[in-house]
Amino acid sequence: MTVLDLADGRQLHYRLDAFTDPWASADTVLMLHGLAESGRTWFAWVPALARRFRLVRPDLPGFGESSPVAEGGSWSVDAVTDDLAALLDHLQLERVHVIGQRAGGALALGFALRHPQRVSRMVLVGAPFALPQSRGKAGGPSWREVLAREGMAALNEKTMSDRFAGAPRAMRDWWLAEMNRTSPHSMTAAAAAMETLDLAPHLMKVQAPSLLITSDRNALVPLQDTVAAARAMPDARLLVLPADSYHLAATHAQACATAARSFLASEPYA
Amino acid sequence: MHDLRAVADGSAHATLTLADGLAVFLRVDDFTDPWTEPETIVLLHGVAEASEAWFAWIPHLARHYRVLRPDMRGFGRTTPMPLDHHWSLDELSGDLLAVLDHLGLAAPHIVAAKVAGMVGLHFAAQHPSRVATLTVIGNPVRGSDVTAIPGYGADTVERHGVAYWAALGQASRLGSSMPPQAHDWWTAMMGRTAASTQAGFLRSLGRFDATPALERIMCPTLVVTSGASAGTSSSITSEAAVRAWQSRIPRSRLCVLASDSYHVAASDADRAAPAVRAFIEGARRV
Repeated sequence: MTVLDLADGRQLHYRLDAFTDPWASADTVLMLHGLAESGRTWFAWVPALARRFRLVRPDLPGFGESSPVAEGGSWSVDAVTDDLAALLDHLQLERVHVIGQRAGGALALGFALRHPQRVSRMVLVGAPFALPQSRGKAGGPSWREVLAREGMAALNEKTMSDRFAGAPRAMRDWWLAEMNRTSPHSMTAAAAAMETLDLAPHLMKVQAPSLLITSDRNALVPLQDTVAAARAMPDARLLVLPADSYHLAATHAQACATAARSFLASEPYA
Repeated sequence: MHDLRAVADGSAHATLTLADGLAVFLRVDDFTDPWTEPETIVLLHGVAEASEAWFAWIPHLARHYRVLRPDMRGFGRTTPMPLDHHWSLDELSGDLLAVLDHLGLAAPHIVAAKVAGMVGLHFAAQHPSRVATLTVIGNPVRGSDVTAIPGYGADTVERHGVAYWAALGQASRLGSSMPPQAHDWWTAMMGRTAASTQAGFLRSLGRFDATPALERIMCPTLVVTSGASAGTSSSITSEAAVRAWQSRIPRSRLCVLASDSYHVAASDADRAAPAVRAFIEGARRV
């Protein structure tokens, strides 16, 4: 793990995976994890991608080892994408591919909209375009209310069966422990940002050729939303996996990573 | 004892200090499911190399195995050795045992390239309970077969340095399939070796002999060669030469990855690594 000191004193931690031929140039992939996770949660993807691409896996601002958000502090898609641009500047990377999963996919879209010249191709895995459930569904409490009343672990536990449907117990336990390390202040700030997330009106402006991956029974992002997004984006294709989990990057890592590699390498893809 | 799970969060490195003060640098790459306890593969690099020589192998192995890459005594970031160091297979094999003990590794899979292949064979014969499977790649079984190659001797290193010595053998070492930039990279990596280590090692290498070990190796063993039958290293790489000693290892088989290189682990990593992984998986199922 390596650390970038941001201009305002916050730290951004990141991992670099360099297994391409060191005497040849290689494209870089920026990998954006979901909320309450860290760059390490891409472990299953790295071997599938790293012989072909250099990988940069940040712990997103507020998460993992990166500086947490202060109590009552703010977190926004725009601010995060600017931190990511600073990371690419630091690494002297002008242009990268971006892979984002769940909220990391929303951040990838935000990044591509704000810094279009820096994104070659993009892969979005189970990405939301809006998250009305973060405001509370059917009169239920919002994520922020659950966080304030019951804490981080309760919020994670409540959504676990949709997130990891069909996954073995040991796997669910590991992910839950990983997520429970998250700072509640960071999660509260990110939840607030998710309440107002609305990417649909901007999708037609995304220039990067994109692959959208989702599941046919996705409880976080309705299938029709992803289908509509793929139609709205100028150059997008869609891969729908038969699954009832919504954390596809974890439960279907191999299938997702293989599809992502083919797409990013511009190989014919089945 | 180091806790490997704590060390390995993706890719990490550590330095272990052995009883005789040797500081062994090693890399750990682990992309296995963190809720499982994976088996370990130990990759042993060749002479005048370091752990980075294995970079291309990691994506092929590390999703399913924890992969450990020590820098051999004297090489890479491990403590360099003085010119008059008395090198032996016993000592290098002892270093490997000490590393495994330090890390609490009962019986990993061992994969060893070039001259380290002799260390792997020697170790497997000496410590049969400490090896699950053995793979040796592009290796001689007698040091004298190597030192007989023109320009390979210690005097070339002492007169012109390690990089010159490395560049001299690069065409036969890496074959014709890699671009010139790859040869330069390999020469630069090898050239970082301390001259005292390399010259001292080459002075001792002629005495190394792994043939007494062959009949005593009990684990499943894969022998990989390029089969190259032309060039200065053909006495080491040709299929007939390799089969002559491979057939003496009881549970062994030969894998020929046709190539005109001597260092098939480097020149053909993307073919060799999947073949080795398939061998290890097959041996695990028996």
